[in-house]
Amino acid sequence: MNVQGEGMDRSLAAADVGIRVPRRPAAWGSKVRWTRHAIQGAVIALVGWQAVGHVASGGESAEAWCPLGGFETLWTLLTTGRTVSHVHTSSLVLSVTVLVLAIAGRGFFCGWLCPLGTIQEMVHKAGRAVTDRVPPVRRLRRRLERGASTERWRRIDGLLRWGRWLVLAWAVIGAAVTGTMVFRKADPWIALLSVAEFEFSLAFVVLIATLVLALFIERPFCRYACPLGAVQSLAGKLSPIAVQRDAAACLDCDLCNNACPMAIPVNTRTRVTDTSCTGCLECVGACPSQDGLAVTLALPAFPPRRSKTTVEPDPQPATELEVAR
Amino acid sequence: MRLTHRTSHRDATASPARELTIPRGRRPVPTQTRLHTRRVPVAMYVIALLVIPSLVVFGFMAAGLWATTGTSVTAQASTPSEDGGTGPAAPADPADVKGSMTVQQVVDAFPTITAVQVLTQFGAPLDTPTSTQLKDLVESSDGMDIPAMRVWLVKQTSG
Repeated sequence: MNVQGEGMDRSLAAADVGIRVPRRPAAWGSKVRWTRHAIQGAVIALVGWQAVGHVASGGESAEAWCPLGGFETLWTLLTTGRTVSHVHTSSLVLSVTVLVLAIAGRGFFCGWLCPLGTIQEMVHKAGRAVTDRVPPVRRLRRRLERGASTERWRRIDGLLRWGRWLVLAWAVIGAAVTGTMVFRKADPWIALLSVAEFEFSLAFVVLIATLVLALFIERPFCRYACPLGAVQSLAGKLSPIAVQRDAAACLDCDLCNNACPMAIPVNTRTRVTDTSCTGCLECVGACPSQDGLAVTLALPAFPPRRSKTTVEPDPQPATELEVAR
Repeated sequence: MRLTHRTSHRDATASPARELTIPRGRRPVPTQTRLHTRRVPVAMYVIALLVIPSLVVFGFMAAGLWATTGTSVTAQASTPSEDGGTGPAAPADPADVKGSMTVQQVVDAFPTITAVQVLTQFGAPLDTPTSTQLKDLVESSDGMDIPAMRVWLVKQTSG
């Protein structure tokens, strides 16, 4: 679509005029956001019910609902026909499900279903609410936010994001070599499920570190350490679905960038195919332009998409962004 | 990393103005794609991506491939034998023993083993219910764990 959009850009730039674009309906973004939170809440309730049932009456463990176990046991299953400890066929089924979901919808699982991601989001929001009321902490957060936009921190952030792949390699290779789930010892999700049977362990330390970091950074575990997210990133490369930006309707207002929990510079992308995209649609919900960002399906059978933005010179060209009007 | 700074995006969509103006000189980085794309309504996106995994899981469940407890030995142990018991249909493999299995399931899977022997291995009181899971016995035992239990079972069954 943007081939045509770019031609339009050039002609308008030459004419030196502003463009009027339709505004997204009021509260549309809130509806998307609350729908997502409702689904996340339902998943948390389901897993919580499972975990409480396990502790109270020895029912099936919520671990049986962990898709990562399926990937960890894959080598052992293929070579010996057995699964490693703590892995049941339900984990294998969920692994397949997550792969299918990633191929269909990229990071949808992370953004809409993953309970650990939801908890990190909740902690981050609660952290912001609290730190905004405590002046010293608020100053610290603002200083961190200023630092976050520096080139130096971006480099560090980019480097740290390789951690997901290292953790994935450790989890899969470790399980293949030892026949046990080595990552389980450091898995914050396991620590959270076992919180009723408290035991000081590496997993508990990772959980606490994750929650403390989540006060300042959105989804720190997802960004830097989640092996399941790494697996989905790979499968998601095959997905035809992605958030797409229409350059002709983009206000370049940065609201999408600020809304993205994974800090993806959405306004520099045509299609957001970044491996860290969780498909949460926060960027789409934040976009004030009706056609600026949209979920799109790319298939060869489709005709080339045309920009819907009306190319009419503004009779009174604006001199500054009117988003806040 | 970008730490969040989302003070204004809610306000931006709440304004009654129906159009926005892209100002001069504020054009974004030019981008392009040669993909043929079609817009997907968000509601359809969400519903489809909730239905797809549900179908996959229910499909596997319908095929009998969903289990949230121990696998092969448990399955064998619960297979009724000719005398109506729950003995294994085929010789069980000690490598399949898992912490989620109960003492009774181990006894059923390995007919030459008694519950007393299993409890003794873990140093548990002999009046411990046979419905106790092995992982619970591991917690109260002094050094005995599931891998050691498997080794012991191999010795017992091969002898």
